[in-house]
Amino acid sequence: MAPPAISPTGGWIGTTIFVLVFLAALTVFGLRAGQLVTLLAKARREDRTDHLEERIGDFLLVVLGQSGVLRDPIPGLAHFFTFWGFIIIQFGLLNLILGAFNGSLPLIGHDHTFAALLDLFVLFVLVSLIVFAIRRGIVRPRQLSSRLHGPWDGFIILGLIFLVLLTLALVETFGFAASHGEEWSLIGSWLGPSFYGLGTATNVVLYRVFWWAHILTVLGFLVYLPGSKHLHLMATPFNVFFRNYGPRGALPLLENLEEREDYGVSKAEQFTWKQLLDGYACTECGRCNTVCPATNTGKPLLPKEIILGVKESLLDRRHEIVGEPNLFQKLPLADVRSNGHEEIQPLVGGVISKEALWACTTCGACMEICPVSIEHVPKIVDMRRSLVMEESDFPPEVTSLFNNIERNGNPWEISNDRRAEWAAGLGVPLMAENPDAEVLYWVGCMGSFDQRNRKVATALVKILKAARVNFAILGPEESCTGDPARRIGNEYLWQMMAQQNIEVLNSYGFNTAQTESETAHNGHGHNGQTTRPRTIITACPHCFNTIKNEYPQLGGHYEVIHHSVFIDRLIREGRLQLPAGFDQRKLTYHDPCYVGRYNGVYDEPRRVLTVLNSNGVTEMRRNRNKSFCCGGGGGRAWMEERLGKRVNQTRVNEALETEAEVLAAACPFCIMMFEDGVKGVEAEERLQVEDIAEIVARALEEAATPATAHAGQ
Amino acid sequence: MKIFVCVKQIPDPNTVESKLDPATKRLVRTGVSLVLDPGDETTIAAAIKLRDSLGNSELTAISMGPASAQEALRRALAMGVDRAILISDPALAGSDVLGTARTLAAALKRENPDLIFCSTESTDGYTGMVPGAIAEFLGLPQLTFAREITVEGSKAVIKRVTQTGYEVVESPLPAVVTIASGSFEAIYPTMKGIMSARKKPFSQLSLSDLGLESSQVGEAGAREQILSIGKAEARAAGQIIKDEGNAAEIIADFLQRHQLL
Repeated sequence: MAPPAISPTGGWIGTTIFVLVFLAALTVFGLRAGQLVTLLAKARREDRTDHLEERIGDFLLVVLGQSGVLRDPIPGLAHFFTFWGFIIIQFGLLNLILGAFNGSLPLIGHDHTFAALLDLFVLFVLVSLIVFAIRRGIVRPRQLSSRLHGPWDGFIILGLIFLVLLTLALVETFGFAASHGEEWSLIGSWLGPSFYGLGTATNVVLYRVFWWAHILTVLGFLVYLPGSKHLHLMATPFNVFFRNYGPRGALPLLENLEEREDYGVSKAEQFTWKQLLDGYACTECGRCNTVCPATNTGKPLLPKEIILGVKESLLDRRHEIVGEPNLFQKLPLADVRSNGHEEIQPLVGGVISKEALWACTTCGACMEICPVSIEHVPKIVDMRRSLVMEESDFPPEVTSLFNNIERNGNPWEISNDRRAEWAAGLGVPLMAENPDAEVLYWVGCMGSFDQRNRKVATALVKILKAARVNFAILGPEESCTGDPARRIGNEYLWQMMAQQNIEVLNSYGFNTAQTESETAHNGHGHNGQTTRPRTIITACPHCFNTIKNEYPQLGGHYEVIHHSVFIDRLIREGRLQLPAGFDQRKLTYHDPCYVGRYNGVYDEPRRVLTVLNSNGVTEMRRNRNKSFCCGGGGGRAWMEERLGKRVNQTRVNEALETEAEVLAAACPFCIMMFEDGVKGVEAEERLQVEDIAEIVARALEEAATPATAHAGQ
Repeated sequence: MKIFVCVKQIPDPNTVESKLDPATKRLVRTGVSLVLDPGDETTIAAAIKLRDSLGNSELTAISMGPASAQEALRRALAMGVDRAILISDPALAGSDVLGTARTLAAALKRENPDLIFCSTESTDGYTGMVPGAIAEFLGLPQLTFAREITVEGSKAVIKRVTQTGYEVVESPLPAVVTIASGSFEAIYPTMKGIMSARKKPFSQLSLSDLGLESSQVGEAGAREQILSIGKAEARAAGQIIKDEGNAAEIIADFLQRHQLL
């Protein structure tokens, strides 16, 4: 705690003024930030304290390691240095503040290494600022624009950071000059000696002037923060720490449907605290907008505006939420939002348009790319829930979907009794006929009824038979899983369908929780045999995801495997003999959102296709976790696409860019959308859409009759 | 105002293949999935729209049918109807148009309705005669094929669909109005609707409650006799004209032959 060479305040009067100014700034900041915290405290509860060890590990990686922003290298590196510079400058600041009390930081206060490090970071941040300024001012990527905080917020922040650096450099320069090098710093040692000529007295005055300028800039920054996008600086670490560690593909369960007062979210305060914290944490980088299939095809949905819309609406309504405004509340948050409309607009259909909500395919690309773990899709679905279940306000074509799922157990006006008709003559047993089947093939509505996807179902049956898998289907006992209903916002219908299916699956002993407890009791389950885990396979990623990740919410725990993974397993276990490289056509693979992003299956389908195809897989520009949705998710397959370009055609064009002859997919909705898309861009002659199962089944035929010419030749 | 809407539970027209029982010569209604007539769903939507625009009005759905018809009425309640009445009696089985209308009219009469909504016809029997018969039993005027309806003072004013457009027709209240199919969008029930449907007033009436004799309704009171039933001729395949330079001529001839030119 050695005293500084020069007292920055020049005595107790200065120090007293400093203390008063400091406390005043802290109070204003506290009042502003306090309101934001109060809003979170008033929001709905949600437990985010599971997986503590992983939380801490990821926190270190994402916050301290900046792994999220670094995925975009140029602004990422600039941010990395700004972040660390900011932290190190805090120590320098603390040192300067202690100077007012004739002290300094222990150990590092007068340490030249620290002083040098501090100044190196000042230079790094300066370079970063230049990068940021060029990006924001000259390159001007569209996604950076902010409706909520206006065009200047970003520049004000850059300006403030620059002022912090500038004043710090001047403090160091004149501190060095006034103390003739006793107050050593790197920058001071470069610039300080040039000012010796001004005389010590002048240099001391200038040192004090810039000390005050530095302190006031930092305090100004602090007061400005809560109303700016730079609030992220405080909220993001928490947001990353409290991110979702549950299955990514599971939407939150709406509990107690029978007794609830509200169904979904129509007012910001109906979100949970974590959903609201997302708004505070948003850095407005707009990465989500750059990957969104809706945004990219001219729909009125911009994921960033959903997050900021919720934040805007929350701040708009803060007096309604917190209670009567008193003087203190009125004063400090007046400039929280600057887009200036007078009347408070409703959240849904006002701040956020209904068209934006309906444009979402729930593909999850926004959540995948967000560097700060913001959850866009659950918010969109929460607001859709309100529209569907509270207002009965949704695209008109969805009414028949809901009615059909509810009445017929499938999306069409077809009696569910006809569900097994596709399998006639294929020798596929029903579960009722083969209750001990090891594998249940969950066909899904598309595989059962859609002409195109019945071919996929037939191909998969060929594969299962070739591998001598003991399997069965449910036939009319199977119903729509409810996935499209849930993602459109009809949680009630999803729960109804899920309960019905869970009952059926449990009756055949597929519930792993059930078999485990049975085994625990007597070691024996079904038919007196030792129970082994039984598997459900499906070619539909939407069925797969909801049964695997969402049915557990209602007590249905199953081992569910996507057919691409199951086929890969059969090959690796040697149960399927496939002619390597039988297909010589150039092939590209599209990752379905609910197989890839939501369930992390990227390698297995590629492995299967690489065995079969002599050219391997030619990747599209956007692949794996950056895959671009076919446009069919989130119930969009059942809605008209009235606005903008067609999502499916956009993706088909990307496939055509690779000059592939085959667009392989692993999802009936992708297949349907792409078949349409290929016709739409008139590429029927050039591009074939095939499910991975169809390609494998053809290879099996090839293996059976080796004399035939290679496919596609 | 007291508004009523007559509804019917029918075999799901979208999934149930209609079958006729050769013995009774009637539509098979057991063992198949039953729904509120989709036509009635749009009629209910029309009635709800009017009720909401009038304010201070009550909308009641009324149906004649077996106990299972409760489900159809629950759906109507979930859609936003205020109250439901089910007339159910073993003696009503086999009612024809006359018996059905007599029963519904008797129940309606006790309620002193201001306005009675019906669909133009049911989606299973398609006779289209019940609404007219109800009006006759109650001695009320009937407005038909309405695609829009408003109440002005003590008059009902409708836009009546015609082949070329619409006519504006009015009548004094009370009146029976039939709604032209496809004029209104069915309402998908909200959760609040579904939940409150369980608590809304629901009354069940028997024949004796209505003061009717079992000889006046059901099989016993039927005046209509189904003499025979037969299969409709399968639709013949269309003719595909391949253009070999004379397609226009063939089409023109075809149209002329059918006097469409």
